[in-house]
Amino acid sequence: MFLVNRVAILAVVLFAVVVIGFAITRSTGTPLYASLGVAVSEEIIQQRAEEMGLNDPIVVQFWTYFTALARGDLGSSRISYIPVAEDIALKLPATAEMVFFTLVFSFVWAIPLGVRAGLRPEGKLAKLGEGMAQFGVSVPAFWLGLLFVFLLYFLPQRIPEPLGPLPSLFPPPLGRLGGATPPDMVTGFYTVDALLAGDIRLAWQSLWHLILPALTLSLTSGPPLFRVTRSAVSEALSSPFVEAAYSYGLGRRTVLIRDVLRNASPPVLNLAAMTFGYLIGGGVLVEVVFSWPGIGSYAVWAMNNSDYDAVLGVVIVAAVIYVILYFIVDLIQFAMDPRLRD
Amino acid sequence: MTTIAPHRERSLFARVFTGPAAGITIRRSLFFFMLFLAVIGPWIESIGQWIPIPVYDPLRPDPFNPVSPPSAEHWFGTDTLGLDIFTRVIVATRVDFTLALIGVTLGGGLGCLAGAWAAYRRGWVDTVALRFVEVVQSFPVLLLGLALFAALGPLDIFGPVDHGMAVLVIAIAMVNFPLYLRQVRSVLLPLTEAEFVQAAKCAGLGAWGIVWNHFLPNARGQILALFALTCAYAIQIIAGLSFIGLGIEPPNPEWGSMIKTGATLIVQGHWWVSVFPGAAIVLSVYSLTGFSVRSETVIGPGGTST
Repeated sequence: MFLVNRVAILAVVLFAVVVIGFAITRSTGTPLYASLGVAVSEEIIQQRAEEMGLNDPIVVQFWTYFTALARGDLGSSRISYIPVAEDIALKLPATAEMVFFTLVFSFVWAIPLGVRAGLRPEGKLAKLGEGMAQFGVSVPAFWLGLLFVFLLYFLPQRIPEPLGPLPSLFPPPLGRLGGATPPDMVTGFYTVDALLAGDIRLAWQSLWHLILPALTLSLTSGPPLFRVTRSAVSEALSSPFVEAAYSYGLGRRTVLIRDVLRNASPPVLNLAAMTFGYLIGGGVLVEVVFSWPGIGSYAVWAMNNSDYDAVLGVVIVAAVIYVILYFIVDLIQFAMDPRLRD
Repeated sequence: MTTIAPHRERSLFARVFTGPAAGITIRRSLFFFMLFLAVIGPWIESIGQWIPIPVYDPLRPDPFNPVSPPSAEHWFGTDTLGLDIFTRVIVATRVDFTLALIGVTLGGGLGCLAGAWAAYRRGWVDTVALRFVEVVQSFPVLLLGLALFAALGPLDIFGPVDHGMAVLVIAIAMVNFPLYLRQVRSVLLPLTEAEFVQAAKCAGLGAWGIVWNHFLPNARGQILALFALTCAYAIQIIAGLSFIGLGIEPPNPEWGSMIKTGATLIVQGHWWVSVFPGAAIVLSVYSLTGFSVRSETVIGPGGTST
């Protein structure tokens, strides 16, 4: 029953996502000049509008788009005539890889600090975590990325004579490999593909290119993870079952792992999954800063060329990924937490 | 923690803006400093004639002095056109603050009403409102902004109002609407059956009268806390959209578009073009989020927020 309910809601939400996305991008405007140029006659414009179905009523246009979408067809780019779905499929792994490493970094700093801050709210590490969270919330991701580029790519080369010039710590912000030949596509994650191809140098190189964008995104998207971990841990710590566990005579370490961390983990993992879903479309600016060839850069490129089908495609894909992740997290929580089943 | 004696009941506003709170004082003065900059912003050039700080016309290029590093004449250096960055950072404060304020007020105000209405009516109204929030929030903010610009781009519907600014305001409003709806609804939902609501009903007040006069005021503490936070967030969104060339077009001063100008220069070592406007964003957002923390402590544990 729960499942049926959730799936029904999922379907409604997905449909609404498409409707709103469509309404926003298609409600107005004629994108024809972008594909034809300005210096064409009125007849050609009309003819093209007819071909593209832009003269049909908006409901008909939506239905055409929606039925095509159901077949996995997001329309074609009005500039390159390449199907949008193909473009996105090509660029999505780049974004996913960046977001994946972002979460890896967040798990390295935000969650341990959050646990520590929950256990010792007045400790030095708690203060450090809070400071990092404050910083991460205040700083715009794209600006932080630029700062990293300056400090870690540019500056080491300019250290004066006695010490330097040193080699750059990180590569210039020029995409995933900066010119090297990418590995054969298997998963689309360059690090994984390079390892599969047995090329450790290439894997290292792509990892090296990943670090700065992922670190930037991690610092700016990690604060909620830190805060949720902190409050989940401190809540679990003060709950009666922890007291009970201590009263059984269990050791501090055992209680910490068996009761505190286990009970604190659902909200944290929940948020981590949400962050992943959100960053697929939320890392646009960082992608632009690092010339990362993901769907965010693609959307910006399409926007600058008034390529609306491409913009709409990215918007819908990002939102759908988020909604589906949300759904999966919901199901997992339901499966794991017996209290929800009543 | 400050404890305020109950008999010295001061207005919520006064409690947020004054009173002792160790540690937040610097942040608060920072906020007033940024506010001060926002107020004097466009007049900085005339002010510069009276006090000895080097300010210039924010829009007049100096072709003989492009990309010059910070110096006594140009405290923050100049950009590719030779525009003075110090002046422009100050002038842009008002642009960013005003757009954030208008957008948040518009979207947040409607969101508050919708949230209060949903909590008051419950039932299907509430369900629809929640689903709507869920749907809108599943769009990443910047992509939503991008899509809005794609849609409203070729239209000339705002008359004398600057097109990019108008779309920015709409984007900010759209992002904020669901946030306020959700927050206000969750605060007010437990109050639907409260006695004062019953009393107002008995007194024969209409539904909107009850919502507006008796229901919504219960959430003002949370709204205030959210307001500072969302304004901070809005500044980041405005700067982000301008960074990818949407919204405020150069050479008009705006922090995000100024950072954009410097983005290609920073790999050549010309850091000042991007760094100073970015620092202004960081300071504004930091000081504004401080207010949100402050409001939450003032509201205290009585306010139920999720």
